[in-house]
Amino acid sequence: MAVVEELFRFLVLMLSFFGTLALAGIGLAIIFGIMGIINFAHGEFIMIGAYSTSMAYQFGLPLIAAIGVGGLATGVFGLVVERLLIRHMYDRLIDTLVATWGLSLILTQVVRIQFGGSFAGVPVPFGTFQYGGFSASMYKIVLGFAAIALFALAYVILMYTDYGLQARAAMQNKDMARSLGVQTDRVYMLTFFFGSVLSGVAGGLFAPLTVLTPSMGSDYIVKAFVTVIVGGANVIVGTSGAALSLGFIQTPASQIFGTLGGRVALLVTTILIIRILPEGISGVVTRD
Amino acid sequence: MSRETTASDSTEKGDPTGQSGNTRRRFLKSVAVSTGAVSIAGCTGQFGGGGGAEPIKIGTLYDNSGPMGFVGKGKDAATKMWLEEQNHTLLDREVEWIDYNPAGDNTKYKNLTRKLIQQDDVDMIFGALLSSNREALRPIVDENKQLFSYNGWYEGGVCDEFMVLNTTLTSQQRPLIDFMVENFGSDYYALVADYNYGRVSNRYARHYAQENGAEPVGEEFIPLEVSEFGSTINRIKEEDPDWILSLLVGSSQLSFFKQAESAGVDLPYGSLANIAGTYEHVKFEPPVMSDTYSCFSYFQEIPTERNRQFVQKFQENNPDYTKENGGYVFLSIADAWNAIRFYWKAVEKAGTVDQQEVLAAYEDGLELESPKGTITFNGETHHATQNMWLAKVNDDHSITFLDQGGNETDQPIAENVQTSEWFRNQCNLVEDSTWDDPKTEYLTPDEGDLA
Repeated sequence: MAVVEELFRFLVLMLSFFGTLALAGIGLAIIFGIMGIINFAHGEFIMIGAYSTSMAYQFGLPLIAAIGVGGLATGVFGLVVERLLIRHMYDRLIDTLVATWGLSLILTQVVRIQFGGSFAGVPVPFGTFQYGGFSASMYKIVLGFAAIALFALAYVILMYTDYGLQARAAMQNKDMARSLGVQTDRVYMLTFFFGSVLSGVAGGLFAPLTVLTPSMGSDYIVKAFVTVIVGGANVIVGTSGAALSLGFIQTPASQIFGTLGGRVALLVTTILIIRILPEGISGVVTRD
Repeated sequence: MSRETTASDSTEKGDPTGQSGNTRRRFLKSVAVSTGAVSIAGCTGQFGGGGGAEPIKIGTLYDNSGPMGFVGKGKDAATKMWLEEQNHTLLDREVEWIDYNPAGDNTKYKNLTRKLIQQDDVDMIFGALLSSNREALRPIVDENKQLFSYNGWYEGGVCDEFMVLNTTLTSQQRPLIDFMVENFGSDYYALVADYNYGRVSNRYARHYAQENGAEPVGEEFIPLEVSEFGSTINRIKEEDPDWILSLLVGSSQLSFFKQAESAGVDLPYGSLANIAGTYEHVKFEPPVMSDTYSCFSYFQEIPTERNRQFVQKFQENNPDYTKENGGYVFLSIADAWNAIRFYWKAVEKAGTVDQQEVLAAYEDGLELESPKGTITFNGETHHATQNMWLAKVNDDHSITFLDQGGNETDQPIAENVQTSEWFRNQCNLVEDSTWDDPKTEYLTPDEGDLA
């Protein structure tokens, strides 16, 4: 009985760490993996997703639909950013990094001016999961499975649609793809939209568990970067593998040494992994 | 502490008599006046001629943007309301209000403090929200011998000739610890924001708990930006405490309450950081904060006629602070209000705005009828002695005030609460400090100092 409780405790905590890392990272991974662009405003995309989800929820939509609205709103916003800003900086990694960092500062301030220091939140749905003496938030379990579902969706889109085929082609060899008739600019635009939608959905999924503030993105961007760096270039397998392994390390560390200990373990593991595997987890799973 | 000593040393060295600073300021003032005379020469036809005294100048440094912007805006609104009530007049002189926005940036805090002192030549400054803001500008205030009111709630410890303070200190929140141990038990789990305020406050809390024979069964120092509390909640459940001590601050950490609620944590929270200042009971949907106990000198809900009128008028002037708009008349607003009123009292008593004489009026002891109740200014410590209220957050997030036995009351839980004994033993600004030979220290108890 006590063993089962302990097991649950470990599994639920790990599932929630995995879910948080994977969801935080997925949008960034897609944009970085396919376009080679580092979106430093990624945290703010998550924030926009959370805010618009909350707005839709306050308007009266059920949570799941509100999250959809959040994803779509962030996607449309991403599209605008891509057309106005990113488009002019393809293949200029450092420039996009600085430009999107600036964008992140602007977004944080604009939201702060418009909505103030914090924003009406969404209550946590689904209640409490109870087993013997163990109880946990049901929503955290759902969050883990939502992450898995989102990765599955991204996998299907990248593997079984025309867009996915072209995106993979552009990712492997942009010039070759273009000479074979792939409109890479259009593919990139769609990719940025797709990545933004995923970031927005992630923000919507985080919304019930956190307090919505203009600077909430800064917490997620660390998680996102850690996950994507450890994951490496392979968008689906790398990122989910990274989230899983980092969650696996963070769980016992935070259980034994507390929240701070968990964080330290997360970052130390990241340093070790990129020291030993410069390609990240993708380097292990992908054969050249 | 060594840094503060250095600061006061350098003041003494550079300025043994305290005269040169005045001379320099007078010089700067005359420069400012003469350049001003040149630049507005064209307008003198309109303004010149009036034989009245020049205006009294007060400056405020409250953030109007940045993470603490909402606090500073509230303080500015309180300042504005008071000035309007007084028709911008003090001692039959016009009061000019110079209102800067340091935007949460310590460099700006320093520069604007210099500007207020050297360029605007103000008679009084009110400001700084966080202790870090205050400590950034304090050397400038000390060096220039400028009277300064700090009125943000903090962990306590400023013992500075030129600073007057009137807000809640952690040591004054002692009734909370006594109450929680008496009513819920001696095993508590402390959640502490990992920075100066959290750590020092936790030291006080542990000391008071020990005096009650209570011990923390767990203590966790949590980085400010953490918003994920799964493991913390698991640990709390393993330790099975009687209650939780919350020193959680900042919006990320407040996620704890939502996550704990949904994970089925059903423990009373004793808070030294929530409700009064950051009104979580208004921000969150019930019942996230239910069964939270918080002890401060002010809550919007304080059931006195004077407070009701204050709240009503403030909300009429500033609709952002009504419940309908998700707002609350929080502690910092009442403290800014009392800060400027204390200044008014001091100036009226002194009959002048000469800073040294105004400070003498403060040190002589002032008494103020305020929305909090009667507060007095303690000349020795430069801090306020005031009543503490114990608020309970109910299931519907309404507030009930309780006495030590846990019964409903419309009275404070403790009256005329001073600074801690430890602080009073070391800080006597009336005896140990003068305008020309000032004491300018920041005293925080180290581990074990309190016992």
